Amino acid sequence: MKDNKNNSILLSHGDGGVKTGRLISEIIGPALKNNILDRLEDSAIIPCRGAKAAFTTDSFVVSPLFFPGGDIGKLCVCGTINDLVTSGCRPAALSLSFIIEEGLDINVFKKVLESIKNTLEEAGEGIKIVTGDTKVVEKGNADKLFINTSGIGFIEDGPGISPSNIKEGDNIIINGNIADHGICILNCRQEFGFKADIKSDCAPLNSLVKDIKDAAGSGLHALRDATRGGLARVLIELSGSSKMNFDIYQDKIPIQRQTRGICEFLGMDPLYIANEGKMVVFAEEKNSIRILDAMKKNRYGKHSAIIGRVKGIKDKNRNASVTLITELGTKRVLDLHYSEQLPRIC
Amino acid sequence: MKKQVESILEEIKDLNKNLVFKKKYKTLKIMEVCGTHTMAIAKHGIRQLIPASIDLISGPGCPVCVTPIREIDKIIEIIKKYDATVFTFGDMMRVPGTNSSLLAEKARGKKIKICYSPTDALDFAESNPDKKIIFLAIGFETTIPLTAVIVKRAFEKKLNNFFVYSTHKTLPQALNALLSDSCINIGGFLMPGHVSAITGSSMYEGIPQKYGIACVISGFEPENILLSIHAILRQITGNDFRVEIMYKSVVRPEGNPVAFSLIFDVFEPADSEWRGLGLILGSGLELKKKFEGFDAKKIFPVANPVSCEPPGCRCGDVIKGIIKPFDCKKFGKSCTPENPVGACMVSSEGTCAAYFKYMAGI
Amino acid sequence: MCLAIPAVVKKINRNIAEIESLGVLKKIDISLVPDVRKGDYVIVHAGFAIQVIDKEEALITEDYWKQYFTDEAGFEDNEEEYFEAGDNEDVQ
Ligand code: SF4
Repeated sequence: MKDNKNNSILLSHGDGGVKTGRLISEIIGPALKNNILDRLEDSAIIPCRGAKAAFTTDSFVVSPLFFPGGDIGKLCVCGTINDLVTSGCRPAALSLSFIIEEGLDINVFKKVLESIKNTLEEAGEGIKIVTGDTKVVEKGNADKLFINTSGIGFIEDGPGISPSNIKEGDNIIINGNIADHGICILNCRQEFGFKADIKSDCAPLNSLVKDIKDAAGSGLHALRDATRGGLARVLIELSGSSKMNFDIYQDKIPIQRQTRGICEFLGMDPLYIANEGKMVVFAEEKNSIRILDAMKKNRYGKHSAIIGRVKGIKDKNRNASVTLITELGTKRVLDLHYSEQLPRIC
Repeated sequence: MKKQVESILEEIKDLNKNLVFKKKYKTLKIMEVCGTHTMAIAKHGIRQLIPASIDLISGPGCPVCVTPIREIDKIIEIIKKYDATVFTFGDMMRVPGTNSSLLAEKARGKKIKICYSPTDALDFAESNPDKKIIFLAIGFETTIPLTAVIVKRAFEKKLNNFFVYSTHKTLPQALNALLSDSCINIGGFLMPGHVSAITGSSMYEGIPQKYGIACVISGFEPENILLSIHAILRQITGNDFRVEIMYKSVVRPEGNPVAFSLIFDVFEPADSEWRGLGLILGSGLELKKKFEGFDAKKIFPVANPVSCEPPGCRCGDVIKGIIKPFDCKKFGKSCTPENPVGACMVSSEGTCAAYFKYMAGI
Repeated sequence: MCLAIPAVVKKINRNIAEIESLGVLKKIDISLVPDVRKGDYVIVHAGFAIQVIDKEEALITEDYWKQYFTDEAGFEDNEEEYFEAGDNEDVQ
């Protein structure tokens, strides 16, 4: 009886919360097990005749297709580039695969392609779309347009960037305001009738990561883009995989006033809301001011801030955790408890 | 830490030390009646700030948590049996019924929509005259006038496709039921700020004298909550128990008479079952005869479902403040916000959820 | 039990008002507060203003504060930050 309610896939299986984790670790992982997949990284590192390649894939569905600050085309390019650069590689080539619902206006499709082209130009570094595919499905079998993108890049020599390199005393830095993407999309759907000028933060972060690396030298330990499930999810995951505790200072987390406003209206927690252009950086304390300066100079990092610190674990029997230090100096442990964030009145 | 908070904490510590020294109490139980207070206290970590001899316990003030499982089962029956679209607040979506929840039914393709305001439901009904719309109404005195407004409006506009399923409950009866329970030993109440904004302070008037309990109406900012705790300690120190408003910017003694009287224009009291507290006479609200054409319970009859409260769940004792969530064997094990067993774990302001979310590991 | 936030009233058209909180504009219903005026602060719950915020009464809490606490700097009303842009008329 009890399982009765659990045997369909719910929206919350795709929101980056606990259910997403379970879908991956209990259903997908065991079915397809191998030594690379098991690491569950955003992009896989595969040996490739002497060089090391990073490989990633991601699917994009968003409604509406166009929103302030971006569109599905920009989103798919940025998402894939950002996944690649977190492993410390230089993105080289992307694939594009479209699933189109019958009846989509051709001009809409052209606009998406135009945006893909512009985003590639914005990203620079000679990143190219090198292959693709198109499928059209019957009306009602897809919502206008879905895009899948895969990407490949090459790991350059240099210090390894990986969650396993996170060290006690590292500073935790983010490149700007959180929750803008999720709240922008919610706002665009106009279901709740807010008027606010919130743009998605959707951006290709390869240049930012390059600037960070140049400024950091060997002091850069790990990078991760904070997308679905928000900043909280990334921190909790990295705390788990690095087996370190993190302290995060609530009053240091940058958030735009209007984004916070909509969150307050609806009773949502911005820490758990999606971003599409936010990189969380773990770096040695002594380099972090230099890194912060470099980030602030980059066009995608104006509001960068140091938001927390890595603490070691004293009691090895306890799970690593992320502690939020509130404005009152009290502590609370962040938990990956959220299913989809639903607006509430209570 | 903000300076004001520091100084108020000093005051609280001094008063408390004195009271313990004078053997006024060993531990003082203060119940926050309102779930939004539970949330605020947990979110800001207020328990970590105040002396250990002051114990903050959570009361019955989360409308989702006190809604019995049968109501969820019934509304699910309605959507299964009739072709209607249900509008409700996000809070209700995850509450487990006996076999399903609204969220699970939505995933199966049932027409369930989340709204921010009850007017969203009414507007939708107006612009879709061919569809039947049910607003699943939940909440206490703060929210009831909103439902009353839209029912009246639907009446004036003679809508015939808009209905309300009322699970509304009123608070004073529940407080009395709680106070007459001998297990409960409360020294002070933090009274709900936004309910009181509608009802005013008079509905608590009998409590301080009759039971010797300090009653302070509080706002929701940490400073305001601490200030209210301070006021409770002062009342105990002076043996001067009364209803005190510490949220004066919003709560007037007379409340909001326009909103309050609207409630009884549209609804009449009925007996109502509270999860954890049982049947409380006159604590529910049903639409008056004049508005029965909008009453989803009458228009969409369903058989009484066989509902069973989840075995082992101790929501009732949690709501009464008799146990803390971690005293429940299921807490954090088979019962988590992802897979809630009882309603206290569902609503984000439910006591079990607030404890799980904000206190795990501390 | 009821999430409600403060906002400033920008425009009124019969029972509907446009309000602003933290820079976000929203139309809400003001049937429950018939005396509300443009420029007033209200408490908003689920799309309705449920009460007008009484600034003078807010000051009484401030007095309470001053009476009991040493900090002379005064009462910092946390709600201020909701309002600051509301006072700024060029936000259309
Ligand atoms: S922890 Fe779960 S099962 Fe236990 S009382 Fe709370 S809601 Fe009920």
